[in-house]
Amino acid sequence: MDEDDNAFENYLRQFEPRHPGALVHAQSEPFLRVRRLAAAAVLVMFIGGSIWTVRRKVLPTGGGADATQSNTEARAISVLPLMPLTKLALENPTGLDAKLSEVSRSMLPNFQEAHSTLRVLAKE
Amino acid sequence: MAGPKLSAAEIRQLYEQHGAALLLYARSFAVDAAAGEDLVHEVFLRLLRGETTVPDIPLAYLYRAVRNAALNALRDRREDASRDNQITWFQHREGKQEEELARQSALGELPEDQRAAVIMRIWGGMTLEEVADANAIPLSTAASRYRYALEKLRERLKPRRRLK
Repeated sequence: MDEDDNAFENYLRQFEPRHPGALVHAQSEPFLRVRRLAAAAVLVMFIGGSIWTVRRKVLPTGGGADATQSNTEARAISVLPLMPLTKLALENPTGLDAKLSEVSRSMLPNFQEAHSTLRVLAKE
Repeated sequence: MAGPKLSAAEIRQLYEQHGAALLLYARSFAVDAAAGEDLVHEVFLRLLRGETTVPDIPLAYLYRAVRNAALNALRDRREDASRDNQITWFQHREGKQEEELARQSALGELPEDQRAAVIMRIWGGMTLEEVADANAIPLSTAASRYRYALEKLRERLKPRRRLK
């Protein structure tokens, strides 16, 4: 590189290329990520809470006596379905009596528990 | 190979130091002023947003990224797009627009590889080694491209230099 080259380089440098405008970087970008993460966390907590609540309602939560009574009532409901009995009572009351008599022979009332029907009646 | 991640301050410093030369480089691909500025901004914003990692030589990456973006912009440009070619590539301290246009014209007539070498060396302040790295070429090739570019520019701008 001789002196003439250096002089020519300096001549070229007399003209400066135009500067681009200020670089504007949205500072909110990191905050946007934090907000997205927070929204995702809230969503996960909401869904998790909902699932926990639903499962809590489905699972039995009471003590032994209440649980047994619930099981007895559930069994009775399964043996005596409500809708067909209602329909039978409306259409054929005599048939309903016969049905109840038939069921009562195979299902004795529970008197072993504290709040069983017989005990309640006995106290009265 | 990816180098250490640049901080926002380092990226801004690169922009301050090399933004003008990169804009000139972008515009030398016949990209208009607004589009050139947009694409230079976008290259730096991608760095600031951490969307890309910078190789070992940031300047080489920046020139390559601007070149790719400029070529994409040219390819996507519609025929009826308005172009603000009134804004020259250079600005003269005394506002000699005729001189600015002469310099722009002489530079624009160079082959792309020679133009890149002279922009990087003269206005980007890069050494010939850095020019070679940025273009992934041997040092001897970078030196010869630069020398050819200088000779052509000297020839085209000779009458104006005599007048000064």
